[in-house]
Amino acid sequence: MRIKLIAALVLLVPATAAAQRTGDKWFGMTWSMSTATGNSQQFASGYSFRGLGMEWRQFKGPSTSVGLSLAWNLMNEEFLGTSSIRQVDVTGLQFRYINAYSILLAAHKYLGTNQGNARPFIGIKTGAYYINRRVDVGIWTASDNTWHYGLAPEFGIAMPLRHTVDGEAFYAAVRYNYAFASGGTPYQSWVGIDVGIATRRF
Amino acid sequence: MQKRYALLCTLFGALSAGCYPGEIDTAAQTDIVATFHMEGADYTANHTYDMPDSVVAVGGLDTLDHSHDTAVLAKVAAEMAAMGYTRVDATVTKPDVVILVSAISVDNYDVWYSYPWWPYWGWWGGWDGYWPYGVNSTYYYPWYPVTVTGYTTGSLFIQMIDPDVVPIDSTQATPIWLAAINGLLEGTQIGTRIDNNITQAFAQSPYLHTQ
Repeated sequence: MRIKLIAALVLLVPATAAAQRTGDKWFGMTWSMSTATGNSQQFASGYSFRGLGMEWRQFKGPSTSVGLSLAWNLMNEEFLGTSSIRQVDVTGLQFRYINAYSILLAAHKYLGTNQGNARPFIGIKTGAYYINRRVDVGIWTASDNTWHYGLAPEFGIAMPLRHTVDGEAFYAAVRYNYAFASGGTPYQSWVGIDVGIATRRF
Repeated sequence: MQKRYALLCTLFGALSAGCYPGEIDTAAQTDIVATFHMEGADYTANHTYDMPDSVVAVGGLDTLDHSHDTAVLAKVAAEMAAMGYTRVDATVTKPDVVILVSAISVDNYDVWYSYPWWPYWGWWGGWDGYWPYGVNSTYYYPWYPVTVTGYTTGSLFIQMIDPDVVPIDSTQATPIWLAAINGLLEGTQIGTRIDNNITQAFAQSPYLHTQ
């Protein structure tokens, strides 16, 4: 139910913004799925369908844009297992969560032309990640919250929904998020798959 | 503009609700088995043990249901035997270790900093003769760095004490192993949970084997 609600919002919000677009701009909202890698995978593995993204892009020429990206990804896992820390071993039903929020500056390069065709793009994002890691075991909860600096290269494709230069476009992107170690928390990483709709004007 | 704010508010509401999916449906899902072992302890040097024949309620008035005491003690004895230990009568033969089984009768008891272990077993004759402290002493749990609160009523503790291990100071007993099982004596399917969780406590402590 929650996923359906979020998906509906992803589709609705760009539509309301479409009427207000001006200039060479792009506003998109995405449904962000993710799978943890590296340290994050050890903490909470599995594929997650929970996540949202919003981004704004300002074009600087026909094939380059800069912008701002906000995103939330949840990676979680539930399992019955034993965790060991020094002289302590704890067994119980564990609920593990990584909630990663990011505020990233972005730059993208586009292939193809502005004639209403699909345009592949590559990009790099950099900025701040706020990562909350939490373990619920029985009635106990342990968590940490850390700010990280991070990088996120991505590639994707935008496909116009109408064969005009501007208008709404479906777009999808694959992004690798790497948040550097910070404050005693090791690096965190995950691969995100974003699917969404953008309002754009070229 | 108001429409956009409303949509954003709805969005953030949905987002926050989705941050921690998953939930506990039964009391059994809250069961936790935690074991603590003393660094450097030589468990293979121990081969015999004794254990009082009761589960002592600590932390306040005894409001525990003691109908499971026999099952708990029998299960602990079976696991100790499986680990290679031989049970002896402490009034006749000094055991290598003593197993104490207790349960708390209040919620959110601070087990580690102020647990007066000694008075609850001070009456036990098996202590006299070799235990270096008087029965009126008050002993406190020694592992100060480990602080865990939040145990609920009915949490079960299995403590292994080696009388030969010198306490950190004279006011403390020195357990070399502790199993803490949260909330085991509350909820449903208690018999099954006793079996499963005590088994787990020993299974995750393979260093207790005498071999």
